[in-house]
Amino acid sequence: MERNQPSRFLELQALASLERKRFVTRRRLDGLFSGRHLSRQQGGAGEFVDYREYSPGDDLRRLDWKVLARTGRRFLRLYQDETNLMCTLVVDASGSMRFGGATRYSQRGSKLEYAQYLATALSHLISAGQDQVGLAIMAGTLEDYVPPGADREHIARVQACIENMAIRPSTNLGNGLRALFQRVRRRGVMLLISDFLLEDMQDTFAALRLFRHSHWELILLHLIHPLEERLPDGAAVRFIGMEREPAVNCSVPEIRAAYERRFARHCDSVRSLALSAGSDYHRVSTAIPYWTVLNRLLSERAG
Amino acid sequence: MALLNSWALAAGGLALGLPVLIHLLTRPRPQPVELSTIRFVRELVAEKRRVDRLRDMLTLLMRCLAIALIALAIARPIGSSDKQAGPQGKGPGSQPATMRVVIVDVSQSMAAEESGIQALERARSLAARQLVEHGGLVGNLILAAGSAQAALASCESDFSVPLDRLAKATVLPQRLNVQAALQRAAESLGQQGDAPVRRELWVFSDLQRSNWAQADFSALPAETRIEMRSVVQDDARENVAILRCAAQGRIEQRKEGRWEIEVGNYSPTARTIEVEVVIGSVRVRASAPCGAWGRATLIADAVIEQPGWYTGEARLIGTRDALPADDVRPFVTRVHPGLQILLVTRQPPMARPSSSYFLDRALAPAGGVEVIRSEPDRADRRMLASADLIVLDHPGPLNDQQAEWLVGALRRGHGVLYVASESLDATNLKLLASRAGSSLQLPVEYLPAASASSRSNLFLTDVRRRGSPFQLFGDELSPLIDPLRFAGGLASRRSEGAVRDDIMATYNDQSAALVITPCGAGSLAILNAELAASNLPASPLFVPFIGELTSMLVGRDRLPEGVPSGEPLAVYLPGSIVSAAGLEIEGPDGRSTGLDDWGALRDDATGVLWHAAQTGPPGVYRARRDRETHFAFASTIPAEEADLRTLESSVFSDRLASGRALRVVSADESIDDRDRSWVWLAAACLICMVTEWIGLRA
Repeated sequence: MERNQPSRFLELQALASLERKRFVTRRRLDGLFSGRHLSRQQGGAGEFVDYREYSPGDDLRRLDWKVLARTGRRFLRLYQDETNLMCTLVVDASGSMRFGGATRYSQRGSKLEYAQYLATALSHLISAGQDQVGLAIMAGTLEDYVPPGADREHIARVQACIENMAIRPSTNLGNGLRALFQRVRRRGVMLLISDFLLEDMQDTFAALRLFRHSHWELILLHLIHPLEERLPDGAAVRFIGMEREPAVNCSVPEIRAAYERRFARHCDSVRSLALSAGSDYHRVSTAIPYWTVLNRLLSERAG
Repeated sequence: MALLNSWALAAGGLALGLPVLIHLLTRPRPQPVELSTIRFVRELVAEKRRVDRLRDMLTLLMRCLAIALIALAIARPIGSSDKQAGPQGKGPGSQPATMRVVIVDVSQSMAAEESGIQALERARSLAARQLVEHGGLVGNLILAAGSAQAALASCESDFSVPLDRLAKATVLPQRLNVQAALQRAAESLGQQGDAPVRRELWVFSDLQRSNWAQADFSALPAETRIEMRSVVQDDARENVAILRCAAQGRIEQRKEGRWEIEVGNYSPTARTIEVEVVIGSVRVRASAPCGAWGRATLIADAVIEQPGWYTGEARLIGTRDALPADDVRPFVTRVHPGLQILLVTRQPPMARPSSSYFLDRALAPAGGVEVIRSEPDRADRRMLASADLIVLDHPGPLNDQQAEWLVGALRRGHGVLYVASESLDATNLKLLASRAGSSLQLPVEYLPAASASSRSNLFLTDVRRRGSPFQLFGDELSPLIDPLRFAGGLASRRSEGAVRDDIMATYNDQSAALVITPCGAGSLAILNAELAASNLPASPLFVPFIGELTSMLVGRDRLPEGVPSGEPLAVYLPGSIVSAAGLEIEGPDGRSTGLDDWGALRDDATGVLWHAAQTGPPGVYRARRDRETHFAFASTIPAEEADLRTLESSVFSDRLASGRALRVVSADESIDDRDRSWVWLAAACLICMVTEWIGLRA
């Protein structure tokens, strides 16, 4: 896919300070090409890291004959391979991501717009590290999927998909993740950007555990709009759902405190489920510029 | 149980729909807002919905209950407090055991407030408890002020009408006519004849000293038990009032006039009282110290440019007292054009020296006074009525009609100076006295002189130096009157039973030299001398003497100083008004009404009479014709009502009871009996409102 214009969500000036930072994984990866990330393969072409006692069935080519001759004991030499990163950006495009938009038909200021900026920036930074970037857009199911790739055209295609992402009223992240799981062939890193306002949270994290069991590294970015943390002012409000939920009339002052407690409980729930699923969890407020969030994320992962 | 204000229940019933309406109208109109976390809100709302519904129902219930309780509190349910009632439950048709008449004082003093509550309100609740129906009780209610109004023609057992009248009773700007109220009560109590019945009279009043000191209970049946209930807790309620406000003497245009304002300080502390007087568009302030429980007269001077009828108002400045109604007093002032004197004489104007010539010169020494000479035959009623002062000198024989006109002018307030010099004058004076009847009591009877020589070289021997007109001369009087020698005139002899004070000067032969006597609203002065034969006109005393006499005769303001509201009204209109035809009466509200509303105008032999059984509420009343005011007077609050001191209970029992069983119950004792149900209802209403508030806050 040819694109003459870069994505409007790609702000190179804002990302200039992050150009030198690299996205680092905490787990070993399966990569197609040699790269700077630790590979799950410990072959003989990499850097020597350790010895291990031989066990039957091991590759005899990696047996340290000198040690065998000197000590009479059989040890294998272990080398760490380095490979490249295959990162899949999973973006939630459900109706609730439209929250915060200036109007019903404008996404400006919404969580989705924030996710678009964030995903575009991530795709740019990851590709700058010679890593592969893929994209999956989730709503009712897997709405769109771009397999990982690293060349410039591929990255442009990914960014174009992000730019043209459209809101779908319904959401079922679990279904989408399962569909994605069936389509991916190699394990890698999944960056899931969502507000986690889901009907069935357990189902979603069950799907995430599929990836985790397949040794994927999962990073969950939980988007929270400031206006979600506290209900708007006003005595009486008719709340209208963004995913076809029925409207609710209520007196805001009566439920404000309970709502704030309920929302905090929701955030804690997402966090604990994410951590129990072996994921890396980041709470992201849309009030904070996305490059600040990226800087913090990259710095934290770099150790 | 009965209701003092039964209408409040109907109003409360209607008002019960109000909270429901408010509930519906104040239901919030929600503002639509999109929210991504609506599922959280739905969860919370579902949890609260059941609680909210219960709370809403409770709120509505509390609101309805609060309104119902308010209505009930205003309706004032009352239960019987009569612990001494006669035998009860004798059944219909049986002889009533107790006959009870309740008098409630609704005079002006009952508007005085204590702790923000009018005395009448206390009386209302206490009186209502005595009108609770139960077997064997018949009764009647009398609302007493200037007159006594009974709610029923006779005592009845159905108290719905008396209670309704009691609920609607308001304070009237009238004094309490105690005797009228007692007389009306006696009529009600005496209707059962000699039947064995217990008779009770309950009086609810402030027991004002100025009203009750003259009470006479002897009109009541002898066995009547009298219960005097005071509704005043503080006997020393402080009140400052304007008691009188009127022009001093005759007010003429472009001349400085003086108004007297009498104020009363009915409080235990002396204070400086300041009054603002408004006369037309002129405002004047006056102040004076006034001692405790005393009175003071304040003076306000002002100049009015145009003649006519002026309404005014005197108002206390910076005074807060128990009875604000008497802090303002309306009044009426008539500003006259220059003085007009009619000199009726047969003497020709050019005859000099002559008695009429001397009088003519003395009556108009300076500008501003117009003297019109007239032959007696030409002096008709209109001419006599339009003059401020009528001087008769050598008038010759007066006919009956002329005497009638003169008496009418006197009654309406005109001054008449009669210079008696001829024998005919004795006949004329006798004719005037007979026409005036009882309104003119001459202190002497004038007789023709026995001979001319007997009436010469007379001098004054007995002069009332401290009375007008001689008071003007002070210590100079003796040197001035000693050289005076008089001649002519009439002999006189004292009338039996006459007022000696009306003889201002006597000759050495004991005949009257100067007599000034009132007649109706005016005054008649008789100067008994032939001026042309006396040296009085040559004396330096003559002109000031005549001037002072003139001022005295015309200076009496013929306007009533203020007719007490509620009192019978009978006042003659000025003599210039010869007929009531075309006149209409305008009340204080500026509304012209039929003649019966504020009294009636009637032509009689003396003039036009404005009469009414009761003077209307305070304010200015005018008689107008073609939109021009021809007469006005002010109805005022009776001054007696300003003194709020109460009569001691011992005076009732020791001096006024006339042998009846009389008990005076003070307000403090009455409080124990006081109906407090409305307080509990109001408290319950408050609890409902607090509960509602807590429910809304929760």
